[in-house]
Amino acid sequence: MKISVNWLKDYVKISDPYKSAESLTMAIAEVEDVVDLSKKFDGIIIGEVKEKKKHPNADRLNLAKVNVGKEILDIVCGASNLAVNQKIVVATIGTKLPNGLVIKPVAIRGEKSFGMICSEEELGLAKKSEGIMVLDKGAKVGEEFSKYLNLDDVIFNIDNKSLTHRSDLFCHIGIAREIAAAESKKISLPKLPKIKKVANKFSVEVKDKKLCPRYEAIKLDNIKIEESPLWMQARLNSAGMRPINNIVDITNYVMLEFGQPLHAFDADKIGSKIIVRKAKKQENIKTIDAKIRQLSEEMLVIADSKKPVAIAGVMGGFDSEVSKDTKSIILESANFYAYSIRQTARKLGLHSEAATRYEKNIAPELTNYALLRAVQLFQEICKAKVGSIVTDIYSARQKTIKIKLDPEKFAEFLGEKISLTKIKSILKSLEFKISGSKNIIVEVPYFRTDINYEEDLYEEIARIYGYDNIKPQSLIQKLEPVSSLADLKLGNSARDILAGFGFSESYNYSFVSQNLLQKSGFNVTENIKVLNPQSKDLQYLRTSLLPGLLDNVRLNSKRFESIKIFEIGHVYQDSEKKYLSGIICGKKEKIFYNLKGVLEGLLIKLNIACQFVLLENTPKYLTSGKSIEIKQGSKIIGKMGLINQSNLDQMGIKKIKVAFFELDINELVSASKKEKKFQQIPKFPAITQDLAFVLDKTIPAATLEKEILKIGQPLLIKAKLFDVYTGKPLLPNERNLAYHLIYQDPNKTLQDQEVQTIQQKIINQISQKFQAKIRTH
Amino acid sequence: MQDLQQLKQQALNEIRNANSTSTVEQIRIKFLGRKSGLVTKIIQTLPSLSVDQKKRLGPLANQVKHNINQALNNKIIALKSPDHQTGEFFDTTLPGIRPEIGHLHPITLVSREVEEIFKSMGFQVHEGNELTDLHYNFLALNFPKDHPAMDSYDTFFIENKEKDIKLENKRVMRAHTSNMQVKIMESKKPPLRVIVPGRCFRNESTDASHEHTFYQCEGFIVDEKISVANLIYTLKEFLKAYFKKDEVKVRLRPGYFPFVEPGFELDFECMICGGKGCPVCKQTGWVELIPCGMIQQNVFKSAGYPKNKYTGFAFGMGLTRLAMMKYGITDIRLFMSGDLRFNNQF
Repeated sequence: MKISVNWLKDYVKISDPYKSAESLTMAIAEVEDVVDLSKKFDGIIIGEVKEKKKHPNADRLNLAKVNVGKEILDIVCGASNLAVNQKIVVATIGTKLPNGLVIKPVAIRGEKSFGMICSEEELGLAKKSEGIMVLDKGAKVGEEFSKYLNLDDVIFNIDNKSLTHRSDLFCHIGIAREIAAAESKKISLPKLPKIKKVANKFSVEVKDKKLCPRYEAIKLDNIKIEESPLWMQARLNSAGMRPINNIVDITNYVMLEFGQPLHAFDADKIGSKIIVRKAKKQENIKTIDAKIRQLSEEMLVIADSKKPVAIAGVMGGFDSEVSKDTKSIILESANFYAYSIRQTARKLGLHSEAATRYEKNIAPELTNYALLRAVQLFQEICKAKVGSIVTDIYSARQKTIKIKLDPEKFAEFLGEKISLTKIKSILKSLEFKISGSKNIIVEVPYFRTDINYEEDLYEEIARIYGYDNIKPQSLIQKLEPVSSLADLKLGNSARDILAGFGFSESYNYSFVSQNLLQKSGFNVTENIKVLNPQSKDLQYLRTSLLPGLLDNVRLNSKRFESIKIFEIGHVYQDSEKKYLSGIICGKKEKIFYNLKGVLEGLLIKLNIACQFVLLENTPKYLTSGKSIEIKQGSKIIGKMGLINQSNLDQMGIKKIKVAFFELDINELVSASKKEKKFQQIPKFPAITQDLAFVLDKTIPAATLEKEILKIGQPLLIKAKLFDVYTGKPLLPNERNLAYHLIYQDPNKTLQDQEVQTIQQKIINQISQKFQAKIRTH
Repeated sequence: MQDLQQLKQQALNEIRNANSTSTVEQIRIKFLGRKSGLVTKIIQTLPSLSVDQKKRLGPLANQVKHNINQALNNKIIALKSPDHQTGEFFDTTLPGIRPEIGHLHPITLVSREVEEIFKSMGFQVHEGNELTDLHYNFLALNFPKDHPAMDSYDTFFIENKEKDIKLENKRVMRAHTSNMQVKIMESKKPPLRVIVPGRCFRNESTDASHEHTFYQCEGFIVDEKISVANLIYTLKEFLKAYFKKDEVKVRLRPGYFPFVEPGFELDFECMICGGKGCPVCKQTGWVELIPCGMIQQNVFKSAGYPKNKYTGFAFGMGLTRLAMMKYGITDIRLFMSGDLRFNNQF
């Protein structure tokens, strides 16, 4: 929001704009930028072209001699519209143009140039322009360009995103009030006239009183459309609005002054009565931007007896707009229900200046001030005559709000005691009225629609008092130990463990595209849709971390030989879950065992006992028969396996295999053992014997191992596979599995004989059960 | 005396350069030989000296003899050890064989740092859900229905399974971690000290300084008699710990967030320029970091707390922003890029 300091000076004394900007920043809203317009064109002056010659070495360039008052400058210029005797704008040596270009003495194709003749584009006055800017003949040679433009104002750029609760601050008077309060200065507001009583009355009917709490209108005659006076145009320009004609300019001026939007209808283009009602079915209106707008039934319109003439609070109608032939107007100053205006503006995509103010809840009391001010200006500037009395349909009169303020409670809330005198003077400076002595009763000024509770008053007092004046104070609370939440703790441990195993942590978007989902083997129908996606890439919520990780592999596989990545993130299925997933890439399918080993190590470190079983219902992206499920009893904790070749092909991941795992963090938490228990260190030595079996290679190692342990119990405490061999001299369907068998008795030293007996039992039973041949070592 | 010290130095040098036991034996004879050893000769002259000189030179001569002897013996042990006997050159300058080194994401690292500080101040860390609804994201936080205050939150709306859903049940991706305020309050009674670091979403086009997915850390304290002065203290202490400084200058400006009243923007004095103005603080001398404020009573009402019983404060900070400041990262998009050239730097 742009605020003109010259304009503010009408209401409050400002000696140092930079200081007042700081006051505003500290008391209400950040002034993001203070722009001194007179400095905007420092070093840019008006010159006159005295001579024009062709550049000897460049067809398109000219050599100009330019009189800038103090001296004659040689300037190389490429504009085709350059001509002798033109008044032009010269950027002298050392000038920084609005686009950042700094003017230096240069030689262009051998010819020296001491300045630049500017175009409107280069001066930042137009987005695009052709040729240099040519001024009128009356422009004074040597004068500063900012003076020529009458630029002597200072502009505050105020961050108004954080003012959505303060409709009263979207205007100059509102900002002036804040400066006055923050700097303990007086505020003086425009004196408003009494309107002469006339006989005529303009008829208004408000059908929807909820959506239109107040509607004021007056007819003004004898108006001649002209340009508005230069001082008004300058102010509108400073505040960022384009001057149009005196009628429109006055309505905009009053809006920028008081914050109340006004609208002027051409009195001859609307019927004899204004009706404020909701739009009818299938109704439409051509708005002043010449577009046809389809209305819906909840939208409020201003209509005459035949048709809508404006969309209430949002935009006027094309057919009732003032034009050069306008002689009389109906001036509207009305209050509309904020919520409805916002809905309408949003539905139509029309975020007009009026709607921006209305949607922030303007005080109904304000309409009359604005109406009187506008009438005053119409009389002064357009010599308008009052053509009717003021019609005022005020159905829901604004209530005066009174709030009790308890100074003691306030001191407790703030942690700082402010004297009663100070409290009162601050509230008064903000135009609150005060009565009562111990518990103060505070009456809220009409324009402060944001104040409803005692805490609202606390804020008002404290911000003017200055938050920096509050001394920091330590908390006084019970000393209680804080426990960490189990899922966060486990997640953090897992991160450290995996990083220790050489994995890099990745963060991927929660959003995925249909394309990526399909390529990585997912069925889009299971993914939840984003209703207003940022782009096609963000259309669905992820149900797995796999697509993101595969995409990471695709991106990095060109540069990195070994890729090990993990991610902890939320996935969105029937409910939201937190997953831990990881990926390993490598040339051969053997990476399956690398990743399985990582999982085994991870689970040991996390103190979680799980079983790995062959995955029965393999999802599309995993290779069937090369994937396992991670379970504890019947509970599924996760899965891992080799990614399907076809998905790798579709992803464009070439020449490598990818293994993937996925664990549900909350399942891991519930599967984790409580505490580790110390196991007595065996007192008696163990005996290790090696045994190797040659058997059919489709018999799973785990099946064999289970059987060996069953036979050898209880003295056989471990069977550790140490070698797997296929190839000659074995038959093609055979495999050799070699084990370290570890025997131990907790109560005595084992005798060789005992071990040999068990060993023989294992040999006998295994060879029978699996048709295995024994190879002893 | 000078001679003795020089002889010792000479002997030690020769011992160091010796590469066989026979050379070592020759050095022993040269310096400590019974008849003509250089040191022995000096020792033999000792009895003929004055009492004063004897007192001075006697102990020194013995010390030198002992040192040389020890060096000779050590050298022989070293020469006889099996490692030396292979005789091959052992290059200690070859690079070490490293285990594979993993990396944690910079946001994880910064978040942990922030968590550590708040944990030490008695805060509990929560995470919560990212897919939430309008109730928890806005309405329970005292945002009026469809109020312009929501505009700056550019929220992602998510399809609901059911049709004709109530406004408050419409699903959204959380636009801030404040979505956990009421949820946590509903399940716990004060006193509460909580932080919620986590992923947030805003429907913004991405460029070097804008991301639709970013990380925030929400925090709040609820109890009886919590004051604005407590808020300033707590956040100042946090900043001191985070930036490892004895003093950090802060300032509070008004800010508007419907769920706090009053609301503030907490700025701290730029540590790059010391408040003089530089590109980091956009020439203002201040860095805007923590929006905060006293929790609005309507938020307690949403959580089912009794009216006017509790006070509290809430604050938020951008973890992504902290990470950019900490590591000097200039393009916000790198965080979610999955590029190992980025991820592996941390």
